[in-house]
Amino acid sequence: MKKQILSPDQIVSLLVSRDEKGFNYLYENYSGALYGVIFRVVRYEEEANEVMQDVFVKIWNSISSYDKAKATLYTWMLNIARNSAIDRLKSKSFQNDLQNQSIPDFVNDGMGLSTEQKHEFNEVQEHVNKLREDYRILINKAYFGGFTQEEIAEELQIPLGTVKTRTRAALIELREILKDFRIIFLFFLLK
Amino acid sequence: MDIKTYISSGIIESYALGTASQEESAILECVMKNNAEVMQAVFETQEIFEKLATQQAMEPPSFLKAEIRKKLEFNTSAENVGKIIPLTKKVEESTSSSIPGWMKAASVAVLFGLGYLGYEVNSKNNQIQEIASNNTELSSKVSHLEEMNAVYKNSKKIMLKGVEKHPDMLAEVYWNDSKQVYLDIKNLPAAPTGKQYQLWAIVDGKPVDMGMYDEQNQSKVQPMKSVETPQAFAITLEKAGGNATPTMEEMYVMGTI
Repeated sequence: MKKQILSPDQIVSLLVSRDEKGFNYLYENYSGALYGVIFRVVRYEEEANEVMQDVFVKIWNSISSYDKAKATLYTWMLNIARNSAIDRLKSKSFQNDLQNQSIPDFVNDGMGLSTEQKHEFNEVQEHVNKLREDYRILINKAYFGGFTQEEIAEELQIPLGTVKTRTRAALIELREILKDFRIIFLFFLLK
Repeated sequence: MDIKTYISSGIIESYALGTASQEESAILECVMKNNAEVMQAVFETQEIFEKLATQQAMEPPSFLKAEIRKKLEFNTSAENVGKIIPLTKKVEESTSSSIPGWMKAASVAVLFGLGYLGYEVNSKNNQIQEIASNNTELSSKVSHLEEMNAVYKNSKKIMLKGVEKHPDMLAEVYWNDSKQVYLDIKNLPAAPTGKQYQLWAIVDGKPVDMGMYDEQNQSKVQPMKSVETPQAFAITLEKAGGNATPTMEEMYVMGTI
């Protein structure tokens, strides 16, 4: 299947001119990645759906503030998605909803998911799961949980300095894990 | 603090993870802009999360796209003229039919005949349309000529030549006996959006507004205001609707009586 690939500059240009083609391209190529992040933060489908809508609206309306010297378009969007999801997670209304329910297990529970989504959820949590447990907790808490390093240090009862160095090591290892996967992935594509 | 130390201080990881404070982030963003090594380190770290996101992608529920689309405002691009609605062809296979063969043949013949008639009618219609449009063209040409004639009769023609900045520009002013002025901007380029050409008459050494040239108007020769004792005429490019006084740097053409 011939798929048109646009450069980030081209995508930005479409978005800036509010061209519907820009939205379609964005949704087709990035909605999955964004939804995955959002879901892993809020963990409930209904909330994820709502946040997803907010995120696209935010991207659409604030594209003029995108600065390519600071990050790629993809990262910029991921940050919008992650931050919106964490805001929702920490919001009062969400916390109230959670109070009467058991809080799902952070890493492995795919509550409220269709069977297919559960499959995706579990399958690829493996990357982060492949990390040693102490690394994994850091990434999950910081990235998907929105905890600051101080909060993490306090909760895990370890020095802040350790959190910092361990985080660095965790990311280096995560990068390695993702690299390997990519090679296998490419292999499948080329066969 | 040297760059190597800064890079391995953990601030970049924090930034990418979203755990850096506002202050730390602002500092990093500033350093990034001024140091290629730091910028590279930041982008590389951010890439880890891009890869993670790509590989942890989850397909959103199918109804979501339409919901989102409703909330966004689009500018349709020039190519997006109409919605393309595909016509699905239903191919029906008739198993048995009670229509005799000769009827089928006859109906086909009739259809052909009708088709040909339709074609004939259509081409006649096209011809009529062509003639009609020629007619309108001619009549508008005639009225234009009539118009021009009225202007040229009893008028003094003043050529407005391009100023230094716009050497080859040309406009023409017709100053009628009855003091009415007409303007034809000849080869002046189309005014950019939001701007318009304004005509001025120099009377007693001072510029007097003579009106705006309307580029939307079909007539090339347009009536402006009247003036009793002009010494010269000039055209400047002003904002749409015009200005009280001419913007001298935006003068295109000028001519004396």
